[in-house]
This record gives sequence, structure tokens and C-alpha cells, in this order.
Amino acid sequence: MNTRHEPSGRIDPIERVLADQPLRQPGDQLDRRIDALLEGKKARPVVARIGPMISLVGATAAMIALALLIHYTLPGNPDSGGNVPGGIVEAEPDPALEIERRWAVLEPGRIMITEDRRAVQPMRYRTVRQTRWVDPQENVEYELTVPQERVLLLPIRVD
Amino acid sequence: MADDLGQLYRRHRQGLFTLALSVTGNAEQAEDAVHDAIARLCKRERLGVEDPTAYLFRSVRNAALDQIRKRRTKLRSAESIFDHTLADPDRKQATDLERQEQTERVQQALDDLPEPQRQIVIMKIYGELTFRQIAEALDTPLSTVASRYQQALLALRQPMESLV
Repeated sequence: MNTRHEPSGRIDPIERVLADQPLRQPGDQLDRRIDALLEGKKARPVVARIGPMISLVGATAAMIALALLIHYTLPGNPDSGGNVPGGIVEAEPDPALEIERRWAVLEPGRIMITEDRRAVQPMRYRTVRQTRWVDPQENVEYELTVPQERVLLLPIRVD
Repeated sequence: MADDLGQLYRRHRQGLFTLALSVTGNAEQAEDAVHDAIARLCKRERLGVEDPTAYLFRSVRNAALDQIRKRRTKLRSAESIFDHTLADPDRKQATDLERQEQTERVQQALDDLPEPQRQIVIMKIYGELTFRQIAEALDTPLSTVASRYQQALLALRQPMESLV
């Protein structure tokens, strides 16, 4: 026990008597509680490591999903019929038909755990397709705006 | 950091508990105070302090003061920081009884000290802290800590004279 009388180093007899007294001990329960706290503290960095990994996997999945969606929705792509809303079959391109604008937004959602305990990353893909064409015979301009939203659930590996 | 905190706790377990017990006067609340202080430190990524030992004692003292504030009654518990139990209660040998009496007198002498002096004595003798660490733990100038400690020893000399 450090009962030295600073700074001279001399030990006071009062200090010696105080130091000789038997101290009341904390219970074992305290040690168990502290151990549980410290174990929890050790476990937390593992979660912290998984977090960025999930984000990285999620971001990669999002990029792949975006690439696939762009591929399948590009005009002129032979596979692009997949994005026609409501199962409408697109007509053959007409010289009067003009696709003017298309907006697309891809938003990754929060990672979820499915009922069968799989981690999935929801990707919300929103598009607005605006089509305008002119009927030269009637001299009428038609405009069609089709908003569309899809949610893709991309499986994620977290191990 | 959990390992560092664990080592720090194990090294100062007794001193931390004794300090908390001297503040709260209740063993259960003293354990809660030590637990709460460690729990708060666990939430931090790193301690980021110059002297972790002084900081831990400071945290436990603050947590012990919080325990007092949480009490519904203002009546102060007065459990001893010492172990007054006899080695063999059935035999009650003269030396044991003498020792028990001595411990009770030391406890009484400590109880009669002003609170700041008592905490300094406990951190110094039972926490084995340096004056500099005590000053940091109490956020008090080093010279004040040293002089209060000397005053405490002087105050203890008379009631403990026969024990020296």
C-alpha cells in the first residue's frame, strides 16, 4: 500500500494504522456486472466492423442493380420492354412518337431481416417517364406521364 | 479499450469501492456507483485522458454523488468502509475483540473528518493515488489536496493516539 508521505517518503504512524485496517470487500456480484459490461464493450467493435461491411456490400449491390435497371430500361435495348408499366406492349417506334424525358432515382433503404432471417437491402427505384407525341392529321399533341416505383430486395451476406 | 478498462478496474477495485462506500455510506449503492461509472466509460471509444486512474476515481466519486441525489430519503446511511467481522465470532478471542474495537475507533475518527478531507485520505491510503492524481480526481489544486491531507492526519492523531 502506498502510504508514503509525499514528498519526503516518511511513513506517518497514523497512515500505517489506517492502512492496517481490514477493508470491507465489494461483492462478487459487482465483478460479474463489470465483466458483463466489458464483454459488451468488446463485442461492440464486431458490430462496428459488420456495419461498414454491410454498407459496402449494399452499395455494391445497389450499383449492380442500377446497372441492370439502366440496361433493361434504355430505349432501343431489345430487353427494355420489361419496364413498360401495366404490361402494355410498346408499339413499333413511330416517327411521330418522341420520348422526351425520363427521371430515375435509386434509393437504398434500411437493411432488414426477413422472417427466414436473411439480411436484405431494399432498393427503391423510382422512374418518371414522360412521352409526348403529335398527331399530324389532327394536329393534336398528346402527353403521357407514367410514374413507376419498384422495390427490389437484394440479399446481403453479412458473414 | 475494454481490456485497459478491465485492468484498471481490477487494479483499483478495492479503492474504488471504498471511495464509493465512504461517499454513499451504503454498500449496495457503492457497487452501483462503481458499475455506473464503468458503464459510462464503456460508452466512450477511448478514454482520451492523461491519467486514466485519476479519471476513473473521479468518475466513481461523481457516480456515488449521483447515488446520493437519487435517494428518496435524505437520511444518510452509515455503513463502515471497514470489515468489522471477527475472524471467528464463536470464539471471540481477546485479540480479535481488541482489533474490532480498534477498527471501530478508526472508523469513528474518519467519520468525524470533514467530507473533503475524508475523501482525500481514502484516495491516498486505500486508493493508493498520488496527490497529483487526487487533485485531478477532485478537480482541486494540488497544494489544497496536500494541505487538507496534512490537516486530516493532524485531526486523526488525537483520537487515534492510543492506537499508534
